Amino acid sequence: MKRHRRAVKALAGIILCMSIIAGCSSNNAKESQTSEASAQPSASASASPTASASSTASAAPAETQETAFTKFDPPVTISAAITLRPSDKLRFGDTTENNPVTRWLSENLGIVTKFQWVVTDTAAFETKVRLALASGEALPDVLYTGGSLLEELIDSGKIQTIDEAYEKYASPRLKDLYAKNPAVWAMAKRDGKIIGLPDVSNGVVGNKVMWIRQDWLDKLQLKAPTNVEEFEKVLDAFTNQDPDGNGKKDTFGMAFGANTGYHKPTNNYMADSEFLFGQDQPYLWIKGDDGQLYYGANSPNVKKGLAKLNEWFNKGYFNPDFGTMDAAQAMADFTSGKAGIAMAAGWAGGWPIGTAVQEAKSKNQTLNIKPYPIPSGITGEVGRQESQPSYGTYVFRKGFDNMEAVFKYYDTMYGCLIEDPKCPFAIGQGEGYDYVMKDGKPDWKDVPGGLVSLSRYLIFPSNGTAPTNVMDGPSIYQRVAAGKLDNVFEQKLAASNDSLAIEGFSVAYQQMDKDVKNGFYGANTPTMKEKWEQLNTLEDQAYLQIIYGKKSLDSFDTFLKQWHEQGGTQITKEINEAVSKMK
Amino acid sequence: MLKLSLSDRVFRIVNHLFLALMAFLCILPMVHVLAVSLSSDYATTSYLVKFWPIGFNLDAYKTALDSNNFIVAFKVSVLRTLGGTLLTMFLTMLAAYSMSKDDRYFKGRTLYAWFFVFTMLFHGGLIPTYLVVQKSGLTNSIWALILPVAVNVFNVVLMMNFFRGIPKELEEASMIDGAGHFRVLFTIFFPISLPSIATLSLFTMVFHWNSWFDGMIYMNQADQFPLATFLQALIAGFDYTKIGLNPSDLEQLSERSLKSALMFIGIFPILLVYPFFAKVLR
Amino acid sequence: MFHDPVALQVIWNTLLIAVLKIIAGSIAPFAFALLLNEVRRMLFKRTVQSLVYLPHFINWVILGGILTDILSTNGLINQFLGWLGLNSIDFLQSGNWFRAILIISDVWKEFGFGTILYLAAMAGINPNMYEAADIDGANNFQKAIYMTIPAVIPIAIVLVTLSLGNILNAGFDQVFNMYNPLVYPKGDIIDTYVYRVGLQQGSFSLATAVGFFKSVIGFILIATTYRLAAKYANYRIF
Repeated sequence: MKRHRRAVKALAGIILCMSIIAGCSSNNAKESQTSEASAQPSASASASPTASASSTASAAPAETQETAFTKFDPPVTISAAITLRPSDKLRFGDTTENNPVTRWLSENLGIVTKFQWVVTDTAAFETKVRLALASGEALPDVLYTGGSLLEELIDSGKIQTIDEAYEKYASPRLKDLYAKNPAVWAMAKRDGKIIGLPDVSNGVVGNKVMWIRQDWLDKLQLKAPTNVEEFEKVLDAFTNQDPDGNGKKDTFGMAFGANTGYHKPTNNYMADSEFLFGQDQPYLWIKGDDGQLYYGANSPNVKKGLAKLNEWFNKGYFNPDFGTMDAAQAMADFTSGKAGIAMAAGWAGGWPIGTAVQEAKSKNQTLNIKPYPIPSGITGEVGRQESQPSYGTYVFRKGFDNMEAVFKYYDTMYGCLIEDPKCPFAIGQGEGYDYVMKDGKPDWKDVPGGLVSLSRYLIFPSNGTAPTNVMDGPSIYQRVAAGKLDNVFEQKLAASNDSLAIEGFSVAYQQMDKDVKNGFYGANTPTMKEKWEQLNTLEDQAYLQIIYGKKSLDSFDTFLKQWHEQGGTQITKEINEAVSKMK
Repeated sequence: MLKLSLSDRVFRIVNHLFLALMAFLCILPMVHVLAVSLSSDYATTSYLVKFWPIGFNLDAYKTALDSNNFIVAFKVSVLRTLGGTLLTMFLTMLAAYSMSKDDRYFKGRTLYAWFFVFTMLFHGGLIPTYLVVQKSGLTNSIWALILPVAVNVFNVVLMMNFFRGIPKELEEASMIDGAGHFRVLFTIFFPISLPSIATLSLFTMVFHWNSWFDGMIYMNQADQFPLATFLQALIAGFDYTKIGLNPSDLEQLSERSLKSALMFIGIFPILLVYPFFAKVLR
Repeated sequence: MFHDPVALQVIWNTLLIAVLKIIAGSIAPFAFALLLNEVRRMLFKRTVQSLVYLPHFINWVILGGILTDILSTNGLINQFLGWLGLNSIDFLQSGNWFRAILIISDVWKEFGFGTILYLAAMAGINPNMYEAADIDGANNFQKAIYMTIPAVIPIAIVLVTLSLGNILNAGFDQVFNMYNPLVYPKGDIIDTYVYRVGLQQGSFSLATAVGFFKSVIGFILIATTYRLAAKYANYRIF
């Protein structure tokens, strides 16, 4: 069904981790499997062939399996929490604990999946965890979480440290993954001990590219801008030269929404203005020349960026209601033809931009939108916020003994992300769900009843692209965008994603070296707990007032002074201390 | 009716117009929601839909009604609403009847009254409440949705006032005839207060139908959630700070039609039931 | 919590908004029920009655979105003002207008509830009394003032008193879905403030403390009103 397809494409776009196989990793996998076979505690030493998969409608593609999977016998049960939505549908009589992916796991790895908690969304999950901690209820074996909830779990003492397990059971390629991405350990180490396994993102989850109405550019004979001056020329043309040709001055240059629902008026997950600040991104903790972190707003260039936004507001280059518009509403300006430029991540090529393009096609109109690298900012440098290196950590409750099974599970799924041909879900997770076989070849488009992803029934994800730094060469998105369709992963990506999204991500990868890193991802420091909200409000109001022109540019200096006095200096100190402790 | 004076007529017309206008204003948002639920993805994403569907399709409803979870949750909601309302109304009537008696007749009545009001204002907080329900063994059963909320002091106070308005002579007369308290309550008070009982029943039903939080914290399996819990997760908006954490969160954003359809489905039963109550109210 | 300068502003906002809501929210359904009671055509009366209850069901998430759209610089309301030759007003960016919008939209959403209650009470009035009044030559207006209103006053008092318990609940859902940093000085209420702070602190404790504080204030108010009503009107609310 069209709707689901849209969603799945957007889904695939932002799913974490995927990597391109370098020749050696498949050898690594083989080695790690055989070495683990001998380390099996209670399991039989023989490896069970995976051909048993053919008896069910599961996804194991017969041709790529070697006897690389050792099965736990007796089977190991791992319990977890799962988020379900009312529109989740399983077919063929499958249930949450009995479906192609769980069956594959139990038949090939001897891992039985149990969902101890069923929740409806992330907020419900967090409440559940807190209630369980307070009431002494048993936690599931594995939990995936982050932020303050993670801190609470650690403080509760109900989470185990996994240093030994990691040493013993993590496969070489997993160890390699973490060795190449040391930044993620900041999330998962406390007092030098490892308390969980952080996942590693693919680095372009939310990184912005510039989406432009190519047809407007062509009509007005302009080229995509590469710096602020050119950008302004395009904004002016889009606003004043009637690019949609209807004789009315009803268009804006760019889509911009400053009501993000939480703080950060100039930075949003869609339709924001972060590019303007180049390497001097506000809201991040940036390493200064003295090696210490400072809060982005302290850079003098932030003020310049705000001044520029105020100029653009006065010239009508974006919607005058930007202050009350959230990202979705702002993007609506772009997709409905009112604005000509929007900053958004690669996945926007699927939704909402892809949706708009499909719609136009169905009406026999052409909506020509293309992604471009973002222009340089107010100082002439390109910069945008990096995606977080990790979005969450897997923690394991104290008293859970089957860490070996966990690492096996993780390693197998990891193979899928790095395009290991031995990935059991290379073709898809479940036949009849996200693919069907037609004439011996997989078809990812025409699944009767629509595409359904089975990712939520997996504890470790198998869908996604490679984490950062583990694979050499261009990312899978870049390869597919360039037309390469050699291995099944590339084919699957091309078939199940909107081509605009693939293009978008491909462009996003091009500027990864310019991503500004956030120096601090840890939990809130004591003064932050008290004062951060206040400081954020101060900041938001200051920025908005300046952009609206309600206050002069000099009010920024007043804000900065107040920010420091009301706790900013103290917080900066605490953050730097926390970071030095994490090393 | 005798002939109306001019001022009466004018008043009547203006009144009707005004009431109609208000009613119309009240229905507009519902119309908007319905329109969005019947519109295409593109139209809703671009916020083009006002009061009429654009790109009419029933996809959202098909998706919503097609899933197992939805139907089961619907049943759970119906069960808790009917069961809960019956129990609540019964208990409320009993409490209101006793409380409506005079101080001299029912000693310590005022004490009970303050006790009730106190509980209306002061809550134990989330965690103690949860602990009480959990230790009573009610979690994962539908009773967790019915018992903790069975008595609503607000309703008791309202009904108590209604009961007080009933002439004492009626009660005294029937007691002389030998009726006990229960008889008086059910054969005299009940019929007379039917409008107010119907009103409070309606409010209780709406409360049960829309309660989502208790379902969320007390239930652990998908086949036990009431409908409202599922809907809440979808409608409640999107935690931007967590983007990337859970890919399916992004799906939520892109499905405004589905959200609206679910919202509408959530309201629909109430709309159906309402006319029956309105009859009783007259 | 109290040594935060923002906290005092927030408490003041909450009080102001909540009190205005209680006043407007008590008058509106009362007046509306009176007007509706005058209608003789049953079908019309029942229809209007059902329709005015509808806004109650709509979530503030949806409603907030709708209102933000209508009240935007180019939205319906401002377009309408333009027709009349007036300047457009930035409703959602000016603190004072924001407060007004909060109150008006909340009353609109919830007045159906009170209306139904009052109508139910009015339905309990003995029709014979009205006929007697007709014979005595009373017109509609007099009937309303001297008969309908007094019969409904007890319920009104109960409702107002109980709603006093909400004196510090200015409506989290509503404000949360409609506010933005520009209107914080006038529109931020205790609950939204606590929510944001709580996010930073990652715990329930501030929210619990504030919740307790609100309950205490509400209780004091209700107790006071009860005493006053008992003493001067000899009416026991409960």
